[in-house]
Amino acid sequence: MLQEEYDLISVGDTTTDVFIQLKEASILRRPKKRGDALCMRFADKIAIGGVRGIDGVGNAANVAVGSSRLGLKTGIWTILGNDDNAERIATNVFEKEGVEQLVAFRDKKHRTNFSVVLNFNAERTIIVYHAPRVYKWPQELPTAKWLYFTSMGEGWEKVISGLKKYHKETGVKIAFNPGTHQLRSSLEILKKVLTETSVLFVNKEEAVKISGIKGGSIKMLLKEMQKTGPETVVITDGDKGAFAVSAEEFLHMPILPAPIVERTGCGDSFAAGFLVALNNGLTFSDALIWGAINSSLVIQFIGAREGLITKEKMEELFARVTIKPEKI
Amino acid sequence: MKKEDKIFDVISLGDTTTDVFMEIEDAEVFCENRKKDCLICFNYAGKVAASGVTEIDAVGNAANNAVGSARLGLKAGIWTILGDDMNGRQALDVFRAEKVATDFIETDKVKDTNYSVVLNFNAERTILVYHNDRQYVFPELPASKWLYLTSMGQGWETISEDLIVYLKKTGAKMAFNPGTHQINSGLKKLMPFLRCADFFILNVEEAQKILRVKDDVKILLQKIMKLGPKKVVITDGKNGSYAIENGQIWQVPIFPDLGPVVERTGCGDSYATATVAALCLGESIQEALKWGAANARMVVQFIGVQKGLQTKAQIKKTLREFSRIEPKKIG
Repeated sequence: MLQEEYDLISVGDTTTDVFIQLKEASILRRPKKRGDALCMRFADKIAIGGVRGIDGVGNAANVAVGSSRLGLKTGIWTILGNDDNAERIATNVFEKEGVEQLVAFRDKKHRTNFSVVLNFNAERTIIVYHAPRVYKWPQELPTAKWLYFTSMGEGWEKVISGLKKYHKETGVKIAFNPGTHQLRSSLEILKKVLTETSVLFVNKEEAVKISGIKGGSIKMLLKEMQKTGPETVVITDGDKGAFAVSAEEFLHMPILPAPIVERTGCGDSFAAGFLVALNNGLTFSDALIWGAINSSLVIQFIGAREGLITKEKMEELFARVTIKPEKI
Repeated sequence: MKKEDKIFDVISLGDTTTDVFMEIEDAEVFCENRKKDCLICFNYAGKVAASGVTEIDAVGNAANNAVGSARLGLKAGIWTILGDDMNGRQALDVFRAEKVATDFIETDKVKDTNYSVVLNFNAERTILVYHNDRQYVFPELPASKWLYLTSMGQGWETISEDLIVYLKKTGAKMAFNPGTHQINSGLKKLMPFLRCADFFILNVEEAQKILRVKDDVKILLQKIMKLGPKKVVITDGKNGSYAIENGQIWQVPIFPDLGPVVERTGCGDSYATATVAALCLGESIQEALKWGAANARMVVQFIGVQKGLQTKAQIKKTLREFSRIEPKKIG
């Protein structure tokens, strides 16, 4: 049998995150429908408690780095911009982490995506800049066992036909974790990807949105998601942990106790741990434990990358873990 | 080479920062007290769209002055403290590219380079400022015609003694354009610097704050003059700027906008920089104010400060174009 060139190729946008600790702000209570507002003095100078810039994050990059640290041969297709952040991401993140950039293309007209994360009262309010991109599926993409397809900006649907063709021709298994823009697309468009998907990662709100079912049991949600195409579905639900189905097996994996510092990268680290376990031939149930271990570490640091562990460390923690998935 | 050529024209003293400008798409502004006390609000725990981002290294009042002076053809240097990080290294690159001498720059091995996020919404800036406390020790500086003292953080006043010794020893003149922290530190801490300042420049609100009065510009100028500076300039937004020298008060209106104002950061810096440069080149105070107006006019046409900073030739061209605008003696 022909050997695939990569274990995992991650596809999606990469960004620089700047984390800010707000002090001089307030929460304005609003009618329930609108949700609360984060408010600051307007047109003024506001002292902040700390700043931390982290290059080379975003769902695709986080999963790529997480998988590479866990020992997979990993590549990424992502679009970087015409600025210093792009240089730093290529050299200080991808190269250093052993993630191969498979397509050299840089957007010469626009900068790299950029977000400012305002931390206040343990919640994040994120100011997001998505550069306008023209997406075109790269013809030269090498073969892989897994393709992780995730967050991209407006116009992302232009790559769907290329993704389908790549799937058909190479037999790659597709894992899908839709980002904000992708979730804004119509169900019809999303389904084009879901039918190609083997493993789907969503949170509970997203599952409700895609399925259109409110107030149903989590098992029902899992079943509904499975009906759209993927054999394996993981629904994360914050503090309640992850609920998952693979074929006919329904499992709940609670979160592992850990001091929470900052939640960014929680879902991505779960996905990376889960997929690498599956790739290594572990059972569905054990894969959920790998996911939970990975998240419980990333949550203890600011940003999505710090806390991601190596395979050796994972195996060591896995041997000691006492919380196991339960049947739903 | 004559000895004269080696002397610096101006050395800027103050903190440097990296600014990130974000064009905010969805926010709301709520005001009380006739639009005076306003809040900018975002969906809490949500995502807020921005339509543009511009990151600019090597800014802050001192950096803007140094780069602006170099553009105007002066031999410029800067004493500032950078972090041992990427933004600090990029700031050094900017200074070198702009021909600002970097010999006196210090690197803080522990604390990062200062950083601000500027949120642009409804044509106003809400600035999230991260300012590190630094250990300030006045550096060994070569001879310079002018020092330009501006924005520094906590502990800034500790440099006064060494600064005064330097001024006495070298005969350098000092321009002072106080930053927010310096203004807030009160008149008592400002006094040693005001006494030895040849030139003091600030805006109306800052002057009122320092003196704790609500007087009009003319009175403010006279009161500040008594505190020590030889020349005082107060800028007053659309009303232009006012100067006092030898008991005479002058006013220069702003120059007509080139187009809709894009972004006001650095308006004051560019104004003060060109004014001091003109004085350094031997121009009168009235002429110097026109230089300031000409520089600021261009800076507000760009995001960030340094893009619009003018060369001497460009300033002269603007001055020719608006030769009808004359300083008015108002007292």
